[in-house]
Amino acid sequence: MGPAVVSRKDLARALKDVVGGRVSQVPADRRAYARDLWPRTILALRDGETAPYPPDLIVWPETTDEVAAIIKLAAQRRIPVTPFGAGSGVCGGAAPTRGGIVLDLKRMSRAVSIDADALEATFECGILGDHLEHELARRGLTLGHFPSSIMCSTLGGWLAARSAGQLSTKYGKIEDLALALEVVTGAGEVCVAGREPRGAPGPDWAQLFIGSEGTLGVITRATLRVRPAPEVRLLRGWEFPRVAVGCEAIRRLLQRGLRPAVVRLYDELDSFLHRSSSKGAGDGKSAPHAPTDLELRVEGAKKWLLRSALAYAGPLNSALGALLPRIGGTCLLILGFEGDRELCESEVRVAQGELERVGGKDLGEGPGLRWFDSRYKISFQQSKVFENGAFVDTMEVAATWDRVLDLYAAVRAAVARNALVMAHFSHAYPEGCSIYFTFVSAGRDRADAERRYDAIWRAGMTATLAAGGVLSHHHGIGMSKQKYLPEELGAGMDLLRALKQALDPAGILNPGKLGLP
Amino acid sequence: MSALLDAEAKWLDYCTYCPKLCRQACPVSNALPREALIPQQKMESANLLRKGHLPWQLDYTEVLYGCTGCGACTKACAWENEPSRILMLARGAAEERRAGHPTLERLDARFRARADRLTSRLRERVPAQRRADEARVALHPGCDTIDAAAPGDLEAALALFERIADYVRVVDGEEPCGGYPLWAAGLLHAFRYHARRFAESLRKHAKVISTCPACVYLLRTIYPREGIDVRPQVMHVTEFLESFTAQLPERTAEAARAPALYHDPCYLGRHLGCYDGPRRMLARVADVREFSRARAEAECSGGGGLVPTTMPAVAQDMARRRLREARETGVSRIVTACPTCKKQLLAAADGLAIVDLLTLLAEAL
Amino acid sequence: MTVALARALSEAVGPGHVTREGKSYTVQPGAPPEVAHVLAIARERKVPVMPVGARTHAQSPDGAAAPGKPKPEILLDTRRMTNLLHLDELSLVVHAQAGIEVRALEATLNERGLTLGDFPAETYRSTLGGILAARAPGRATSRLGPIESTCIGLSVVLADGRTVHIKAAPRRATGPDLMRLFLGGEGILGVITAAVVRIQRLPDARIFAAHALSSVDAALDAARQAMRRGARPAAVRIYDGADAHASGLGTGVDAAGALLLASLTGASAIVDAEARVLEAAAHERGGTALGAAPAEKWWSSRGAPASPGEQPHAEARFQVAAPLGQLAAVYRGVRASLLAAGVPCRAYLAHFHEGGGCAYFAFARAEASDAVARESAVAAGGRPADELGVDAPLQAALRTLKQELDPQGILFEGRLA
Repeated sequence: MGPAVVSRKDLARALKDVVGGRVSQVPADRRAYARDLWPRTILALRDGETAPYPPDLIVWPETTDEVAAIIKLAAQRRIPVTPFGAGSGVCGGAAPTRGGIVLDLKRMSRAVSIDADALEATFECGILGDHLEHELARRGLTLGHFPSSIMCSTLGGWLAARSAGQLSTKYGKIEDLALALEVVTGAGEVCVAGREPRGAPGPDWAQLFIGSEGTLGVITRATLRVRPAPEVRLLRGWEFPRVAVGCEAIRRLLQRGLRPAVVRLYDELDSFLHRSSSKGAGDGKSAPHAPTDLELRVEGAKKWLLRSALAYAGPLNSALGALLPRIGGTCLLILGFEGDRELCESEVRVAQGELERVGGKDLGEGPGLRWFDSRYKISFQQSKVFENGAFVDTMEVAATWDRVLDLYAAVRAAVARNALVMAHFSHAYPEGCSIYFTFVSAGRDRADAERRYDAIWRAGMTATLAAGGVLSHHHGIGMSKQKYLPEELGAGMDLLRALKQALDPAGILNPGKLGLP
Repeated sequence: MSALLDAEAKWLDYCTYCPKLCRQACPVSNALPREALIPQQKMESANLLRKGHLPWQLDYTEVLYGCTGCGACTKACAWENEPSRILMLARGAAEERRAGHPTLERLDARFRARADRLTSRLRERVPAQRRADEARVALHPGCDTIDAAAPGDLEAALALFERIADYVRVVDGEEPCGGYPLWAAGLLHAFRYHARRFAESLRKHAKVISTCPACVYLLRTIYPREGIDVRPQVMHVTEFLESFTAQLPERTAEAARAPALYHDPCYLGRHLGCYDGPRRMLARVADVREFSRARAEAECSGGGGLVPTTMPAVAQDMARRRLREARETGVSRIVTACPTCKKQLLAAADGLAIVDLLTLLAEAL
Repeated sequence: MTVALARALSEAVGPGHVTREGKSYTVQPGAPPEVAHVLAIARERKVPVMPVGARTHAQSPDGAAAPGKPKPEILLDTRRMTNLLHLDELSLVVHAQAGIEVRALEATLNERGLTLGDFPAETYRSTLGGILAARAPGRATSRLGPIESTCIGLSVVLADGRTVHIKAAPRRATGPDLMRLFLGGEGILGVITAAVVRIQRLPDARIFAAHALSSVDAALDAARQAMRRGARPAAVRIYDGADAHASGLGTGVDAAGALLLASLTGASAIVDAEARVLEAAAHERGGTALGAAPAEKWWSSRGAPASPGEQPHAEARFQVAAPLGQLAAVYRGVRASLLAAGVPCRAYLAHFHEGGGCAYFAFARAEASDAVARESAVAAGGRPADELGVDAPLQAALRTLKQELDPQGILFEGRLA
């Protein structure tokens, strides 16, 4: 893709012909789209870098035809186009690294149709997840898709990034929920993909657009499978002595044909923190007042202590690893079934038998209910970590059961050299599950933090590949993991390139992501 | 102002580093989906301005004005962070550095002029025998009650009080306004000056009831915080009348009880916690219906935070968004208990009936 | 020319594994490198290749091509590559070569108390590669979904001879699901040589249930209601009264009514609950429980001709897929139009999963009746199984993909326009 030879002014004028006033090049807007939630850009922001990847222009289409016209225009002039939902990706996938146009889809956010009898709903893809679920809930329905980003992500983002929600073991992941997609290709052509049954031989196009992270087309509308809102929700906590036993329990539940809505096993450290956390966010907030000098000094000292501890992450992890069994550290499993009362109750009975057989201890519904009530609150802790001068990120991988424990051990060891690390196992399948690592670390300054950050990812991704896991279960590749993609896909990279050539010959859609040019 | 903003450093940082978890709640960015207008970005802008990473220029300070003060973001935040309060401080800092919003130029003088005009207007509309300088219980009509383009609500309220609690008199002082515009613009000096005068003018009353939820909020919460002593007990009209619910007019015949969607004003609902009282009162005369987002989740009508002045198109869009459910569900009457909400919704009503709660009750007298 | 080709092919796969078939050669490679070798020969001589398995789905090469397009001269028969590479009983997945007959795979699995699952009978007549590569709606169960969703890993030889390995994982977010280029791809973009598929343990319990209802609509509605509540039957089948009787399953069924049959598998407590859910749904619609017998009889006769003495090839077997909400209308529409044309037919509804189901019709073969059936199916919102239905931009994209991955066009394009 050659360099853009069009002036911003000319481009703005051409776009105004399509969308009227819904174009901006003001600095405040360009800055606001200059990053997504990739933690590395938060490190930059903390250091005063106000706009890591600013676009040239932002445009807000209101119809699919406008999207098509914009893309055609951009393809002609070879201007990069970055589709943008709510910018909640954590891999830099929505950051416009080559400048150009950001296509903000959020003016296309209607509920087009909701059919409670056929259990199908069609939405424009710029709709925020929380709003989509609200429209369904009003009608006694649910999509059953609850990523922890539901309040700050869009349907289009879910589809483009192959998201999975916390209850996906029951309701399916986004690719299971999408029945048909309306997509504008990189050539500016509108097409409809998906919709069982398909007679024509050839690829399953809807499944190819899902996960394409904005590089093959802009998804404008989706028809989704929806379900009746659950009649009951039965949640419970179980205790297991070790991760291996907990994993065994999950495997057995899934392989007996159960479909729990939630099954989450926290490793020893994560369980410990989970149990000992108070309300966490929201406690100790007094009426606003200017902090006193003493308060500032205490805060400063605490931050220094935290950063220093994190600088010695390796020994810290080892110490915790040794300590936890001594203080009776066990693993917490949250199990939940929701849906039809009669069927759920039968599933609970079978589950209980299975878990007891493996050596689990029933903790009652308390831990389950507590998890459910606070399941989105953990994300708020990110603010505190960064404000304290540290950084936090997550790494989520997956494998079949035969590799899960080795994968867990390998990634944990790799990351633990440079960060405090904990994990939980979730998104379970009969054949395996996903492992979700959370890690916290700190650097002396931005450069040191970035160095550490990169080292952690390098170690983790390398360990994942060596252990036969996949690089990502649901966060995607974006920018941050694309250097590992060739090893993950092998000759599959050529398939990806062939798809790119087929759907975006001018190479304008989200260039520089997903290992593509 | 800089010191005040610096005192909020931790809260500004929290928003700056947050994964935008409250964004679905912000009525401004829901109406106009510019990323720069989500609460996290507005706070990030304020923070970067504060830290000197962005210049204090209208290019960057403009977004600070994209907030109605509705508090939905605070409700959605596990830290109960308060972007609306902090953004108002940031506006003051912007004003100090000559980077304030152009539509708010000389706001202090304009406010003063308007206050004078409102005082005269009030005296025109309310007969002397209903006004009293020394009344024990004084009714304070809000600016948008006095100044309403479609008057009638003030007269209706008076008729209602005359029947239910005829000892209530309308305030007769020189200060009609609690100072919301000055506070929302971050003009703290001007605000404190007017607030002291307003508080002084109310000293002679034991109880003050206002039609304006924002004034009640200011008097109860902000004045004390600013060190201004408020002597009387301050209530919203619905809080006062709630204890008279049994005496309020009633429509019992089902045919006479047409459906009415109750819209929770942000300052009455989220900020003052009054959800049930107005509903109980409304239920006397109507079949109360709810928006799907109601009570603490109610969507803002767009009237607060000076947004109707600084971003009028966005304010209108917010009102239109709020009303779309009425059109969807076919309930064509919306009732609210805030004159500013009423004004906002009326401008976007396009055929729907927007009615003040007290007026609706008075009609049943 | 053909002698030279025959010799080259013999060198690639061994002389005993090349046979002449009409105008084409059938070759049976014994291992993936031989597949690559065959494709190299095809490239060199510019000869189209069509991968085949048990040929239960593929049409004969003479009829298969779009008009004007070259017909395959090499049929690449995978049935010598039958190794079961790895059976992972911990993860419940099996890694096998594409030429393994599903029936044989299933037998091996059964010996160890395992199974692929209760897929439609015809599935077992194909090869593993065949069922994954074939574009055929109806290979689905409510319990497990469409057959291609069992596939979690794939090995494919591309036209240039390179092999793509998509490693086995329960799920991933590493870009588009590249397996979807080949699942249902009918060998247009590559030859599947091995696959990793999910398997199940043999069910703890299997229950059969049969209910008589007043109409096909009511029966379908009952099945939908049960699935809406969360039941996931292994298999469901619906006959109208007349066809139920014609199939010997009609005891207790009114000729003007309908028969709902279900097989439910899983943990016994759950299976019992699902049976109750189905019964409640049928009862709510005026149904009568008929016990297990009719359903057991249906189950044990799966795969056999519908009634004794039928000539299977004299009949058109017309398959229409539709979303569940439209299936009844499709069924009625096609029946009515065939009746109006004086063509008797037998039919049933089956292979439901959440995304849709299929209606199957058998009637005397005649061009006119084919057309009549097709038209009424489409009018009612159904999709005949062999209908091309992809938007123009995507057809063009497939062309480009084909150009990128198979520039010499040696992998047979089938019905691609």
